Amino acid sequence: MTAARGTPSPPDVATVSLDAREVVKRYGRHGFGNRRSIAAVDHVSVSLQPGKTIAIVGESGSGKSTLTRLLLNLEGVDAGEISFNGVSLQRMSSEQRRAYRQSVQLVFQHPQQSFNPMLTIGGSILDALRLRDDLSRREKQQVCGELFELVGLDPAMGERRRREVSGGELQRAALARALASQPKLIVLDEPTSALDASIRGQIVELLLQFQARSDLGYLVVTHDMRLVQLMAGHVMVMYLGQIVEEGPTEEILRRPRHPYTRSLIEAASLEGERVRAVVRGEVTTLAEDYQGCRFFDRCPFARKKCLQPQELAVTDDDRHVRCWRWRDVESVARETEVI
Amino acid sequence: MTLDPQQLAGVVRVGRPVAEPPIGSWSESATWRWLRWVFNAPAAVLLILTLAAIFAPLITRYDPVTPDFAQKLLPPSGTHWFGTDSLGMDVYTRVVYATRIDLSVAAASVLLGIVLGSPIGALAAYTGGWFDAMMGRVTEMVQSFPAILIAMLVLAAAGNNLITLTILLGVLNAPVYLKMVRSVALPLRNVEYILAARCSGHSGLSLLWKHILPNTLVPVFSQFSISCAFAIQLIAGLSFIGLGVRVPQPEWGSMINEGANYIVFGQWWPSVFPGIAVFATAFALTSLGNRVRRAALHE
Amino acid sequence: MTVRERVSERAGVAPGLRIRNLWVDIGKGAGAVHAVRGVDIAVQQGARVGVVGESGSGKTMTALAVLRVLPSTARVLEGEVTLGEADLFSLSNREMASVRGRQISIVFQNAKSALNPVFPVGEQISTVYRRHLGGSRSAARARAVEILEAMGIPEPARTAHLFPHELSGGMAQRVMIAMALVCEPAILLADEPTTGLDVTIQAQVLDVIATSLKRRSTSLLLISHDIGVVRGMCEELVVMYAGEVVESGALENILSNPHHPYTAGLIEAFMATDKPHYIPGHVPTLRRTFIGCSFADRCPLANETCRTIRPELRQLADARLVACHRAEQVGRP
Repeated sequence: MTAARGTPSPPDVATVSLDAREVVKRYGRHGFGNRRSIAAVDHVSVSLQPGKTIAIVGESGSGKSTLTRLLLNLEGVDAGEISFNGVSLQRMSSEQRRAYRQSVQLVFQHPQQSFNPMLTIGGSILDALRLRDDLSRREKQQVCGELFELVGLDPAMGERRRREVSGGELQRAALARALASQPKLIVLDEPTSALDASIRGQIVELLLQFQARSDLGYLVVTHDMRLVQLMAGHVMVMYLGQIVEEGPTEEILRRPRHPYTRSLIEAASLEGERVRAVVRGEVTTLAEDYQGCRFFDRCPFARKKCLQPQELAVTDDDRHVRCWRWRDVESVARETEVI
Repeated sequence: MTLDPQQLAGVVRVGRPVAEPPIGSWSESATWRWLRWVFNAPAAVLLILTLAAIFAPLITRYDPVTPDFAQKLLPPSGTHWFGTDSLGMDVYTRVVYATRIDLSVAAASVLLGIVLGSPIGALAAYTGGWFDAMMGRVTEMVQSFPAILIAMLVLAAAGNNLITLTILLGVLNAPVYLKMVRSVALPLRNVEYILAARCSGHSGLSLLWKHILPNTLVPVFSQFSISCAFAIQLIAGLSFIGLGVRVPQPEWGSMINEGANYIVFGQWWPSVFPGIAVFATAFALTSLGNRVRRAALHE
Repeated sequence: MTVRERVSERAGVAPGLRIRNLWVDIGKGAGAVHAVRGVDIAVQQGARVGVVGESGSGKTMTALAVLRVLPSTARVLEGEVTLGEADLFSLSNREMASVRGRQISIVFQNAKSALNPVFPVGEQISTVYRRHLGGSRSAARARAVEILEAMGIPEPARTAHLFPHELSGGMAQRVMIAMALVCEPAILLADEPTTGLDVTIQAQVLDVIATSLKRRSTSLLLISHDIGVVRGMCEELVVMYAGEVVESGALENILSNPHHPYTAGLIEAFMATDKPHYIPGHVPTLRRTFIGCSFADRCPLANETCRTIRPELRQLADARLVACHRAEQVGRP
């Protein structure tokens, strides 16, 4: 089934996978002794496969954006390993690296920032086609036009520069660029947050169509629970670098088991309910050597036991929670009818 | 492997944009208006000066370097538009010929500074670490000495000629561009479109060349004019004290120097006209640089 | 008679804000953007009105016009804004300056950049207080700490000495709200006050606003692109599109039974959980002049009348105003 270890898989074989195992990333001064704060990404594992959509949910400081950079090898990990088709990103040959770059793409949050102001939109997409060296220059132009059509953009858009194009159209162009290399896996960092609500659905619909047609795998990083509900089968909730809960979307939304998950769902005003605050305080910076639950100071369920290290425990076959009081959380959620 | 049109047919309607003028686009005339505004009066002045420098022999009648003591210190008149100086040479002719030296030395030295400083700045921003730190110290060293002082020392030691002067001014300009390119390139490292380029397989040299350096062009260009303005003033200042351009080469600064003695006697024209030339050139260059910078900001 | 007196004393009832037929352009000539095109909004004293709209709807420009703090390139072409009996557009600059922060306050989106970075936040609050209400510095400082505490800021005395960049986003936003409410204005304008904050913090900030307003029955004009934000806070709703008001009335009624196709589409897009809903096309540029309804090219119900005649805001049952020729076909009767 899988290709032999160390050789790159051609992109249209369905065994493409991107795996992160116990990945750790710290920020702070290296080489000057003490690293002062806790890791930005702390022992996170996630696995992307074609055809599946995983959502990572979290707010600022959760480490979700850092994780996307690590997965795309834009920064190196401090511990743990990320491997593409079984080969660690640190140890790839240039050919493997090429296959990796072709198969895994990233769509950014701010469409304006993701395009070079000096290039035309078409020029940017052509630049993204540099990974397709099987194409001649003229073929690349043609593919560019096809991509435009695929995302519903007027081909004349190719001549414009980013300042002349609206946010919604730019995000489509960003999708076109991500699709240019014919990837199998796409990481999306807040793909609709910068867009007007009435057109977010356009991008989501496009994404779902592409996934259906080309069996793409998505990792959607977002804080928007509605987007999660529309796109993802599986959710991971992150807080201050750790995964605090994960499981199937339906389950998590109906019966959250971690207090932070619950507060996110409440605040997300699903069904247009009024936004309710169920948690106090804000994200704090914690000392590096603190081992206990990171949500402790804001948690309405906190007890002294929470100051001890909390494991990501298995509760059901496919659900994990990092909270020893998960049963209480779940029952409270049921009482207040969080749907 | 191109996309199959059959597959495209399966794409459900996705809300085509309504056909109307795109947001923020400029019509033809607006682009022209913009260009005219940016490159207006100061550019016209510089254009005139450049043409004057190139076509100097065609627009002047006298020899710029041969003295004619019979004609010394004649006031401006129909035959000598700017009068003559203490050696009897036509001031107008010398001012025009001086344009050649001033503009070319200034432009060449600033270009040299850009060519030296920009790549190092980009590299320093990209690699960081000890290289960046070392370049920081080097630029600090170069910039901590007053330019005139260094110029005097170097010209005295290495020879008082135009080549040395140009190279010297180039080296003095390099730190400005090093720092500028570095400061533009540094935040670019994490900006999304650079990351996107890396996701498309760019790295190292191709990233610098295709994506980072072009974005440094605009600030560099606007700084270019301003650096030229400073260079001209520096050249004029140096020849005022006898360094750089040597007699009897016409150069605005040395002309001001020679003529300075005669102002007291009411013979203002040998100094004032080259002075106006320096002023006008520096002003035009600075204005142009500012306009380019403002135009870039509005984007 | 001072402005304050005019506003608060002559009016028999406490002052309400009334915006009538407001037209604002940005820029001049061919490239002018018609940002606000005939907007009518009324906020009774004590009422809480939400304004919902997307980019280009003109909602921010409307708020800025009320306070007369439009950018220098913007011009008010027509219209009237009254607070109680006072016509705000007829006031001198000085009089208007005494109204801002005292009678009408505004809170913006990005608190950290709306606050002055070189002054501690406590000082910024006390400066506003002293400017309008006088008093000694120590009294003003005490009042600043008092209001910081009312905003739910832990350790208010210590926080008062911090600079804006030392605060988190949520804290900075509370400081801005404190500054706005320290002189107990008649009405608070809030322009996307929680956008950009974490969702859990958004909820907290909205709670703070709600509690503070209730205490003094201050009116609220809350501008947002997020229906969820507006829903918990306001009883009335104004929906804006392309610089105009397209629907207004009681919030819950509109949400359960919208009568404008744009409102219906927007609500559907917000609530979608099974499959993505959206309005096709995109928000039009406002550099153009519209013939007929500005929403016609995206509207599933548009007919010839819609494309040729601009719909006026008209009244339906229960105090609902809609600008749509086909309002009766939208929603349930």
